[in-house]
Amino acid sequence: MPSLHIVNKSSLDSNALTSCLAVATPGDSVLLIEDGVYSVLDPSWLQTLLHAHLEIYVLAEDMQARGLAAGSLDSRIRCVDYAGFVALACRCARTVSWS
Amino acid sequence: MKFTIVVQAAPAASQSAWSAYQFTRSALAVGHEIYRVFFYGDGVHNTNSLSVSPQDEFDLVSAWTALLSEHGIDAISCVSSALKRGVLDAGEADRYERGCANLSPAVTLSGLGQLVDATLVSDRVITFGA
Amino acid sequence: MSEHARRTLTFITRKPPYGQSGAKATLDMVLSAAVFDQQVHYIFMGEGVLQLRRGQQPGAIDAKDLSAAFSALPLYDVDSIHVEAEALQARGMSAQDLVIPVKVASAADIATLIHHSDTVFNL
Repeated sequence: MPSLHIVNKSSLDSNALTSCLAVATPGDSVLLIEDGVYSVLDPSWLQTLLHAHLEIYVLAEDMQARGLAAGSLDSRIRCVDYAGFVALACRCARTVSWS
Repeated sequence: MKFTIVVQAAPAASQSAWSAYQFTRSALAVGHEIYRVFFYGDGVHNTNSLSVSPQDEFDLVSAWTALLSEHGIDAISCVSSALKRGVLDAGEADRYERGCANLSPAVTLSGLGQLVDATLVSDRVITFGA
Repeated sequence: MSEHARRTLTFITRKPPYGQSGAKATLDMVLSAAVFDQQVHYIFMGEGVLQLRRGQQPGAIDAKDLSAAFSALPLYDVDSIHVEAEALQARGMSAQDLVIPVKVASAADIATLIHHSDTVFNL
């Protein structure tokens, strides 16, 4: 069963997301929360994502707080709210937090 | 599902403690059980009832106390983390002659064994503020 | 102690010693989990590999020697200790530079360990 990787730092500021992607298994989910949502501004990260066979999510409340429009996201990234975050944690077998 | 929430970040230092609080509330709202909330490392600052929040800011320490009490959640601050950071219950305040106890009334001090136990019993463990 | 089936608990550490906290916090959790007789995997990634570096003299900064504590791991039956190959390489280090015997792990090895764990801590 897949893992839910929770990343709370921007790919532009920290290696947390890079480290996460290196050890994620195809079929895992990655949820960007807190400053992690700023990664959507990083075009190079999106390229890595395309080849990784992962499901990518961003947390709506953190996007909104930071003035990032969910509507402008790449279609491969899904926006979820806290209820969706809880549902993801249930659907995946385990969570791994990356900071 | 039975969740254990691990909180490692202080309320003022980053957003993570708030994220943990919001996740906990959201899980309860859809009917999940919170088996334990474990405050570890700087997370114990969330359980310091001496903290005073500015009037125009969200008072996360009080919010945790209210949430944990309202739902009768088993909330623990790691005793070694708490002692180091000056978060004491009455017993420790006496033992170390510190003059006052400031641990939130909704929380008890205990060891890492309680976190391991929670890990073995819960369906999901989620950590905030690594 | 709860009577549930033996679980696999994996602890990842990515923090260097001394300059910031986190290294000891992870070690303390590993030892607690080992006392509960669970399957424990201890994984050092990124800057975390520096915790195991030989020749540390933390007395110079009034700190306790973290690397010395790792020699106690076998006493707790913690023998699944993995160090990220790429992290060693990036720092010009090899397993010979470390204070204890370890398994040098590729990213794929670590992914597999994570995928087969019940709970993962990445403090």
